[in-house]
Amino acid sequence: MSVSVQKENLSRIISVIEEDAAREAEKILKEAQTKAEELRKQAEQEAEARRDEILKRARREAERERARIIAGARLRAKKQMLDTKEEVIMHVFSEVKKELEAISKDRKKYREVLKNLIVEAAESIGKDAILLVREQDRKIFSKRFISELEKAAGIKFELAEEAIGGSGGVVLRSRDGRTEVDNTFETRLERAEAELRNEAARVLFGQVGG
Amino acid sequence: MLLDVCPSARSGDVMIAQAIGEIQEAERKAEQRIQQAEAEAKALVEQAEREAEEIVKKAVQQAEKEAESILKQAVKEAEQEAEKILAEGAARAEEERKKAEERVPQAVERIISLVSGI
Repeated sequence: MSVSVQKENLSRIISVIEEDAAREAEKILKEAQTKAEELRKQAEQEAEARRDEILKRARREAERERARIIAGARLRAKKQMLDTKEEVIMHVFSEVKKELEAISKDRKKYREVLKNLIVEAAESIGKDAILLVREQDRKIFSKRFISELEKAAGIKFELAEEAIGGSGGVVLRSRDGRTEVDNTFETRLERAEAELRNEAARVLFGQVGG
Repeated sequence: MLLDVCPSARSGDVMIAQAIGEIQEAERKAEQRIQQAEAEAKALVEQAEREAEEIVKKAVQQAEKEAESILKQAVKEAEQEAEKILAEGAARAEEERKKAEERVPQAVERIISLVSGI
């Protein structure tokens, strides 16, 4: 083999080595670029997913917060309405008390009221009873009035020495002391409070339970 | 020794040795080039990892800012709506009070009737 051929062969071998190395280096860099590109893509996907999740959570939280604020406002508005109704009902009861006091001073009207209350209480007692009245009402209970009451109720009454307080009305007690019906204005108001409140609400607001 | 007695053989050996040397040099350079490429590749991937981390971090920060803004806006709107509800509620309550106050005498009369029996 001539020297020139040998040199040519050597040169070819070196070229092959260089070309192989260049190809290998290029391959390594290309793979790295692909990996880098893949990492960026993955990062963008992850960023998008994280962003979506954060915004989704924020929208849910915003909706919850909105619902909480609106519900609170509705509740306060409802309470305001209930407070207003309660104020008017209280006004009614205050007027009722004034009116009852006025009735207790109107002898004719009061007599009629006492009669109603006594007859109603007598129906519950069902036997002869003792009448407990206010000191200032004692003068209303003349023999004639008591007789009128006995006739209306169908039982005998005896006026007690003991007096009651309050703004009006009577207490009936059976002679044996075992039964008592308190028909004073205060007790009647108190006893039927819920019912009376419903009645007031019905008249005032056209509803029950106001 | 052959080299001593045959100059042409000596010259051939030198050439072979030279050739081997050149091939080894080429291989060394090739190896160096590959190592350099590997180092560059490693740096490239590391840079991409840092960038990827940064992309996610920035997106999260941006989204958190948006989330805060969404919440603030929702609260602002809800508070405005709540004020409207309260104002309407107050107006309705006042209207109801006026109407009910007109019926107070009627309610008083009804309750008096229930309490007194007249």
